[in-house]
Amino acid sequence: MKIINCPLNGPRNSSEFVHGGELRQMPDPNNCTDKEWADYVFYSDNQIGVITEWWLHAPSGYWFIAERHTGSDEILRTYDPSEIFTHRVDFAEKVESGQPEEIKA
Amino acid sequence: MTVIKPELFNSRSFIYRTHQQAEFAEVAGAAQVLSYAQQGDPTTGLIDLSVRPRIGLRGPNAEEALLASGLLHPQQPNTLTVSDEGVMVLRLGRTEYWVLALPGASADLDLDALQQQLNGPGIYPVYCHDSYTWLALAGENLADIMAKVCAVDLREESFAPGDLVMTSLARVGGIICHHQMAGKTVYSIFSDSASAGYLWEALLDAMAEFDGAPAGQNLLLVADE
Repeated sequence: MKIINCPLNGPRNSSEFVHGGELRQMPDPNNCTDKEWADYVFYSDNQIGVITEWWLHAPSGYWFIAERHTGSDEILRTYDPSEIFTHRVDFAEKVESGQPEEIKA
Repeated sequence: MTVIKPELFNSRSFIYRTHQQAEFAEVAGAAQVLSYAQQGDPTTGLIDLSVRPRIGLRGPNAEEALLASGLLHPQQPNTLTVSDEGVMVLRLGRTEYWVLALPGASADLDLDALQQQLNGPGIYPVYCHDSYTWLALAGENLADIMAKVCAVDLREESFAPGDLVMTSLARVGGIICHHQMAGKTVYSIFSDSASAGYLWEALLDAMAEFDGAPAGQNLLLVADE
């Protein structure tokens, strides 16, 4: 079985981990367009190369960040999210436009 | 005198129906197994401690509150401390703590009062009583038994007393804590209450070849001669 190195718990079987998707910059959820939000939630780049992802160590409920090569599936580095998230992320208040957003099929 | 049975209490262990031949005592408004009547103490016992009191807290200020209350603070993540009063403190990750009353804890220990005291901004209660089952594996060959159900190396060289691991055992998530009681090695195991019945059976099955048997908390209080 593959071994993933959890920054908190050490090397563990990959069956203890849950993939949490690619780490991406979240658009301001109050003021972005639906398209921008859908792009953030539903679409990923799916390119070959090193990507930065969220992973969960399920038995301890611990989320961390891993850098993985999508071609070789090799995990190059894992680290605690505090390396990236050094302070609380806040977003601006919602700006009321008065007009409903246009939805295209 | 009334014979104490789990059915006398509203609060019960998740697997109280499996303790048919056991003697009980009242602990925190529920029935705790003291011993299994029809057998002597096994060399390796599996003990259901699910009804024993425990509280949890987490948050950036949890460490400070824990130190202020005079509890022994585990210095490293994934370690534990045991005090002379029978209080075990688990540090799960960086900022989550569980405080548990071991069998034989002093009678004036009031964890509900402590939970009130461990309060304030940056401290959040963690509910860990009825959502988790607490099984204690005590005696000999523990690392060999656990090797059958768990991928992590739990031999003494890599899993010393005072260590804990959060991993999957018998394919369910759980916390395994290594401590000593009455001169015995004890692995306290915490797992989701929904899998309590399964885990009890799975561990007994793994113990069978090492002459393991169900036991009560007296096994953790009386030292072997």
